Amino acid sequence: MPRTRSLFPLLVLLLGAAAAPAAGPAEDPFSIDLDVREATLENGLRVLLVPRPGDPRVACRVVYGVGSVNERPGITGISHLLEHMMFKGTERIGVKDAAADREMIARIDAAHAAWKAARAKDGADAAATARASFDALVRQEKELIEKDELWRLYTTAGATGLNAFTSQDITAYIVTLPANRVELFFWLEADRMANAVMREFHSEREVVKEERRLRTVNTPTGPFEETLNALAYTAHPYRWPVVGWMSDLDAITRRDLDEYRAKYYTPRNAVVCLAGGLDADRCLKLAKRYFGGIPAGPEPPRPATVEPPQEGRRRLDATARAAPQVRILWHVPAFDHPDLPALEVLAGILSGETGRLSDRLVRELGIARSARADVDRQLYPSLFSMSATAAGDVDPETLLPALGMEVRRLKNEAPGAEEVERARNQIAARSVRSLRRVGWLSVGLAAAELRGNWRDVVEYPKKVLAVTPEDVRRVAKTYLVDENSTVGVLRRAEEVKK
Amino acid sequence: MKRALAAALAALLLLPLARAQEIPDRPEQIDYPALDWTPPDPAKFRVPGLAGVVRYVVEDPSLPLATVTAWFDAGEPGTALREIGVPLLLDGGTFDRSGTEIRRAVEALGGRISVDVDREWARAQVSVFSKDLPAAVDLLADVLLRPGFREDALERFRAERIDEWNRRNDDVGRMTARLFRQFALGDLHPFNFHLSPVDFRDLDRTTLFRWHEETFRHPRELFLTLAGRIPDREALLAQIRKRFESVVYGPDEPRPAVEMRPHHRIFLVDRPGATQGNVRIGAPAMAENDPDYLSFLVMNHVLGGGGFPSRITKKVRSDEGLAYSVGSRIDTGMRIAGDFHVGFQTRSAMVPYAIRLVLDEIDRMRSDGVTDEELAAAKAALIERLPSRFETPEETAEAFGELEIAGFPLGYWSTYAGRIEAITKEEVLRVARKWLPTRETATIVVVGDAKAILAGDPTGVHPESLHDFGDVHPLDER
Repeated sequence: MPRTRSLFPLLVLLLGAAAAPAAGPAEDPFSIDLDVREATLENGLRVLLVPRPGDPRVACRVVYGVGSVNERPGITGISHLLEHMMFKGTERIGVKDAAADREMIARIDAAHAAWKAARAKDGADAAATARASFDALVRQEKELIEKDELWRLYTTAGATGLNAFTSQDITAYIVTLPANRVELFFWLEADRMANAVMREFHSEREVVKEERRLRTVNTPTGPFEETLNALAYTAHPYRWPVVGWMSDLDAITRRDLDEYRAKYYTPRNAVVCLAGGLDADRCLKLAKRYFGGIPAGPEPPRPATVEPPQEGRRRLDATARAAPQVRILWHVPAFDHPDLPALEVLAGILSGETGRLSDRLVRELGIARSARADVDRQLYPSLFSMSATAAGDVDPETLLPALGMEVRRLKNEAPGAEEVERARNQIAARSVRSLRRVGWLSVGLAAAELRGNWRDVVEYPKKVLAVTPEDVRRVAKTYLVDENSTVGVLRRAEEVKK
Repeated sequence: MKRALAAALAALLLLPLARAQEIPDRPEQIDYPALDWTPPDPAKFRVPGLAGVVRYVVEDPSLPLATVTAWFDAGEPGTALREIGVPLLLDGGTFDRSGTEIRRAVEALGGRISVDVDREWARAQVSVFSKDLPAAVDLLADVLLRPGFREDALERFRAERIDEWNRRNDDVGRMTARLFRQFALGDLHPFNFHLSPVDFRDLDRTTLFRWHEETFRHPRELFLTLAGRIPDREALLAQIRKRFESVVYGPDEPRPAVEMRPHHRIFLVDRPGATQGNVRIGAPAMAENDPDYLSFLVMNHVLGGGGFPSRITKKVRSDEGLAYSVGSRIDTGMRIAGDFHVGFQTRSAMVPYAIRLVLDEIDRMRSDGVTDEELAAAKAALIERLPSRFETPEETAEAFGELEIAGFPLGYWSTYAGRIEAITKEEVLRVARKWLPTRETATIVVVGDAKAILAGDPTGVHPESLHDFGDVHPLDER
């Protein structure tokens, strides 16, 4: 259940592994030969360049090795909030008078603290007065800033897909530019890596709170999924949502953001990846020119908490105005564990319109409208999930034994060779197809490089293609066990008008 | 030693300076090389003659992948049979294979198959490794021309759609969008058609076979596009001709006029306990083939469709922190006109204030139009993003297919930049005044906690009330 939050609700890129073109029509269509030029600058910034001659666009990404896994209670959601704040400008962008704005920011923070204190202690009238002072300063600041200048500079240069997203493991800034405009990316991204200013903080925090309300609180299943995820983990930071808890969003300060940025937004903790109609030599020169002068920064701290082994089945019973459904979560290892490819094939066998779960629960028994399985491939040990949505008025509880039966079948008997091959081919073909899209490719490469090595996007499909039916049975027996599971049952909260 | 150290220190100090000198002070000072790119010309990819069914072949040998897409007119938009018949072309299987068996056959090859019905057209698509393209074409022809409409699939489809109907109001955002379209365009508009239990009352396989006969025996429109690496083009075209030889195009009869019946009022649907109000404000708009469309697109980019720098997004999100997702959009068809709307979600107490901010911006656009700077930025953004429309061979084939569906000339894309460039401030003002709603003509739909929304801002800082904008019509969920 990897969670991703983005700055702007345009698109969300998934971290699909990307693969590479086959050399010739007679060769294995799954074979991979990816032309990636790589370099590491003296300050530790890794640069990956994928030339696609003739392509008029270049997908440009800078990805940082920080996500909600790096947070702690009290500042949950800070990675994502920082991602939003990174669009508010720098010492040079988004501001008319940087020195005056710095002073104004300090006054605004003081006024906000006074308003907060007045609300807590001094009653409505004092709070209203304090708020009026705060509002007045915010209005004054507008005279000092150049609103959304970064966006204007990018979009007037023909940028598309300008966005950012934060996941549990990474934060990515993405834009696609006409091939002749890549220098703009280097200028703006190096500038915001080195000189970002957390201006308009208080209003942007409200935007993020609205995002939480929109995408979790007021959705049919958001609170259920969030609670179930928190129940599945005892200790590991994956237990809290990427968007953060509401009280933490309220508590985070501008200073927290500055400190967090100083720790993680450094060349040594970032990968710049460009793919498309680029000149690799020129791009490398630009990378050195613009990013080369930024200090490497400290070694970023890594989370110390390890999720302890689960000691028994956990269960959540919830109600919501949503389609009745069930979800089962099991802990599985991190991305680089040799069992991950087999777990992925296992999910493939169970999932999709032709998968076992649809076969049995949807078509044969008619008790579910849909059913699926997924596995997360995360930096730290994560989750395998199975879920099903009930048909009509079917009690969701009845879905559990049906799902359990499919798990037992997989443990007792290895799946057929044809079934495994179909799942393997689907996963590997998806990787080859993702090559078409430089946007996916560039994020996939950068994320893999942050995990360890971009070549993982080439090697992983090979590992999937090598999975055997017995491997699938073995991982089902190893991980899909009762004491390692967390079960969620969501019932409909009310009878609604039909 | 000291001298060497001093020299090293000096070099270190000078290094950032030297580097800084290479970096322009401002990004506007960057000197960009020219970009030599023009949109692909559909005429060069068009297969001569209509009799062969295949309309475009976009070859790209770089990857061993290929996609074959069938585009077809499945009947008048807003009718139940096209909404049921098209998905069942695949899910209902063929004479000799079930839908699941067909899907499995494609998946075994590492491919994928889909059949989709859109508001105005329908598409069936198979993507495979190039070596399997002949098999994909056979499969596609079977799905389109020899459907089975199996009883069990029909029954499952019916049950799924009835569940969907019963659960249609679970998601507030979707409910708001559906109700807004209903009140902005009127019940009779084809975009407001949704399958409900009544559509299945007298439906049986015979009716579906009759629909299929009418749709595919003499189709008003049916053509194929091919994209990717095509190993043996001539043999493949011959195979397609043979498989589709039974198709004889019918006359392109005039299409019925679409009736707009907008309701100019505020509709408030109560969802007690919701912490946000979900809002849509708008009016009927023009279709993409309307002469006003591109000017309106430029106007919308400035008003609320251009991301953060656009006026409404800047005001409601960036300045006031009232919403995460806020912007304006033209939600329309290529031939059938849809709507223009502003959509956002904000905490209940702030709904009236945010509505006022949006209406103020619409009023400002209607009265003053855009500035020279805004116009230039909007044009640049729309023109410069054009290459992204043609990123993959599939997308290029799709762009060409859409020209056919919309009835646009083949030169549509090659003249696109020039037509955008020619748009003036006066033209933008004209279309803004013609198409943007006034406070009197806007349709406003609000879904949320009615009590909290009607109470407004408890601090009194923003004294707006929903009643300020017209009669509020409370509405049950429907």
